[in-house]
Parts: sequence; structure tokens; C-alpha cells
Amino acid sequence: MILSTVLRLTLQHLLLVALSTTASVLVGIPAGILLTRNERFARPALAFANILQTIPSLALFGLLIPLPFLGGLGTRTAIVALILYALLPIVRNTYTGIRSIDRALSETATALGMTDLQRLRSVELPLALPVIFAGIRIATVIGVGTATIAAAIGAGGLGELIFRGLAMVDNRLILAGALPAAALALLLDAALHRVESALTQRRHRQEVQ
Amino acid sequence: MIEFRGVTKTYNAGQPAVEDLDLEIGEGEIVALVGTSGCGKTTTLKMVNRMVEPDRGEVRVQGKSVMEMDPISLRRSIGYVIQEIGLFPHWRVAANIEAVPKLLGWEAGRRMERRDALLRMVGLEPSAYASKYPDELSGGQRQRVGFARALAADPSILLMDEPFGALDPITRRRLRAELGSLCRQLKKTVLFVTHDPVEALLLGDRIAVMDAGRLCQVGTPRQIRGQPASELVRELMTIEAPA
Repeated sequence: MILSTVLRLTLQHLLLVALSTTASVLVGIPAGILLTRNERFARPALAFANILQTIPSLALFGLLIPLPFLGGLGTRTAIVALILYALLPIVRNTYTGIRSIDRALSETATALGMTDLQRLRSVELPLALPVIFAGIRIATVIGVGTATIAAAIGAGGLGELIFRGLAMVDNRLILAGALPAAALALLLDAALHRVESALTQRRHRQEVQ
Repeated sequence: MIEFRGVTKTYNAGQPAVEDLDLEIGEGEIVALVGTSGCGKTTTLKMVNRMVEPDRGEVRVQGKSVMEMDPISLRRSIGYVIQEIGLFPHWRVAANIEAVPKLLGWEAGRRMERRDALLRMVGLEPSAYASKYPDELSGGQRQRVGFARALAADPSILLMDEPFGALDPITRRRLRAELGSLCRQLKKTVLFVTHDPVEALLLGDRIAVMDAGRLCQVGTPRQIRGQPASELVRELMTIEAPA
């Protein structure tokens, strides 16, 4: 019985992380790109994202509950909070990844007659990809950890077992939640690492030589 | 071919980078822009393909003001060479050379043909080099590829910013002679920036000496060496004896 519960909660946990990280990627990468095009907003925007990151997660979940549309008890609120947490590493790494490309390269792309979009697609994004991907990995691993706290507002996930174990002073229950969560984080990290090296294979091949 | 008329460019309300510049580069002419770093020579170069836009005055290419042209198609019609770093590290030599033809929508067969012809022209065997990545090449080879890329769509104008700057002296000398005569053979109009007087004297039909954003003197190598307009020109064009 406990095994099927763990399995169900693990899947739920995975779903929370997958949904929120995907949403963060979809919002964060374009946002990071836009910041490289509007340097003036870059500093305040990244500072704001930094501040979001420092709010204790339990507090953020609590703060979101009274908000209309976004808030309330349950999965939706949890996903909103998880998105906010995942946003910083993705936005920051996208911004930094593109910014740290040799200026001469972006300039050459322009000088050859690439439009802004062509330069982005064929020069800036491919060269920044390892850094952007590292951001996605960090966001995912952080997400797995933070999602355990989502159980506090009734969003389910492995945190349910942990909170229940805490309430009942039952270490086995705590571990039944904590161990799968840790395993999930390691697994996702490894999987994303593989995707990353597949995507950047050519550059890897070069580094080996 | 390329004309500057009263061109001034100031960055962020400081000292003008280029001030009241008048310069004409004729068809098929090779002009060297010489000066100390920060004298405005790179800014001058970049105003030709609208990488930098002038505040005052006019830059004309083939009789038309660049400000009235579409910057994208203007840039695709002008070859551009910078120090070796300008090759895209994640692209093979082939893709680097085919960059502009691809932007112009040439079909693959025509691009390949052109690419192989260019590689041979700059002295690299296509079968050995087309599929290499830039970091598998030597500095001189990279510079050859950069040069081939600039010539890919057969532009009539070439802009070069310190094209031989990052090379060792021997490679530099060889490449300078080779690519210089290639430019002449192909009858390209060339504007290139250098701080090396030897390069300017050897390659330039005329030399334009700049200082602090202003043109000090324009003339043939003989004029510049024989009658330098100022002590500064004399000093800039002094060739240091090899140690």
C-alpha cells in the first residue's frame, strides 16, 4: 500500500516540477533574450528575480494563497510559486550566456548581414546553449526540493509523506518522502546532463581534441 | 565608390570619435587607414556598412547614401574581415564561408561550388578543410577562411579591420603578400584598418592617416613617406628596424 502511495506521490511531484519548469523555460528564455536587447532593464529585472529567490518558500506559498486567480489552496498556487523560483536561474543564465559571447562574434554576425533574429538563432543561442541549459538544470533540481513544501498548501507530491511523518514523528514516513525526492533530483539532473551533452556534442568533440 | 562627406560621429556626448571626415575611395582602390588606437579608424570603417551611423555628414557607397539603403542588404553586399576571432566556432569552415550566400538564398549546389572555388583561391584544399572546425585550424588558416568568407558573395567592396593583426610575423608577411595581390587581381575596392606602417605601405594605393578623430593626411605611400604633413604622420609611419 505504502509503495503505491509513494509511486503516486512521486508522479505527482514529477508533474509539479515538469509543469513549472517547462513554464519557466517558456517564459524565462524569451525574458532573458529581451534583457540582452534592453540593457537598461537587465539590472533591475535580475535584482527583482534575485529578491523573489530569497523569499522562504513556505512564506511564498502562504503569500500567494490570498491572491485572486493565482492563489488559493492547491496545485495551481504551488505551480505559480515553483515557476517564480525556477525563473531566476533560467533568465539569468540566458542573459549571461548570451552576454558572455565574444562581442566580435555578434558583431561579425551583424556585419555579414544577419538580421537580429538570424543572429540570435544561428549564433547567439547555439553558443549560449550550454550556459542556458545549466540554468534549466539548476532550476529543475531546485524545483524538486521546493516542490516538497507544496504539500503544505495541499498540492500533493512527496512532501505529503514528509509533513505527515513530521506530524506523526515517524522517521520512516519522512524517509519515504525524502529519499524518492532526492533520487528524483539526481535522476533529473543526470538526464538533463545527457540531453545537454547531446545538444552540444559538436563543441564537446572539439574540446576533446 | 566609397565617399565620406563631412562625417562626424560622437559616442555618448564625449570627444567625437570621428570629426568632419572627407575621404574618397575610388573603384578598385586599396586604402589603408592608419593611426593610433582610438583615433577613429575602426569607427570610420564601420560607418561604411552602417554598423555605426554618422551623426553628421554623409557616407555614400556607389553613389548612394548608406542611410537610404537597407542596412541588411548593404552589409550582405560588402565583404567584412576582422581578426581571426570572427569565425563562428560552432560552424565548420564550409558553413562559415557559405554564411552570406546562404543569407542571400543561394541554393546548396551553387554555394558548394563557390565555397570550393574560394578555398582553393586562398590556398586551402577543400576536401581537407571544408569540414573542419575553426579551432582545428592554425591562425593563418583561420585568417584565410575569414578572407574567403568575406569574398563569398563576390562583393565589390571589402572592409578589413586589422586583418593580419593576430598572426605571427612570418605568416603575416606571407598572407599579406598573397591576399593583397588577390585583392588587386579581383579588382576589389578595399578599405582596411591597420596600425602597422609596413602593412599600409605595402598594400595601400593610398594611405589615410588619422589622429584623434581627424584626418591628418591622405596620399600615396610615396607622398606620405616623402612629405609627411606633420611630425605625427612621420612618427606613425616610421618603420622600426627589426630587433
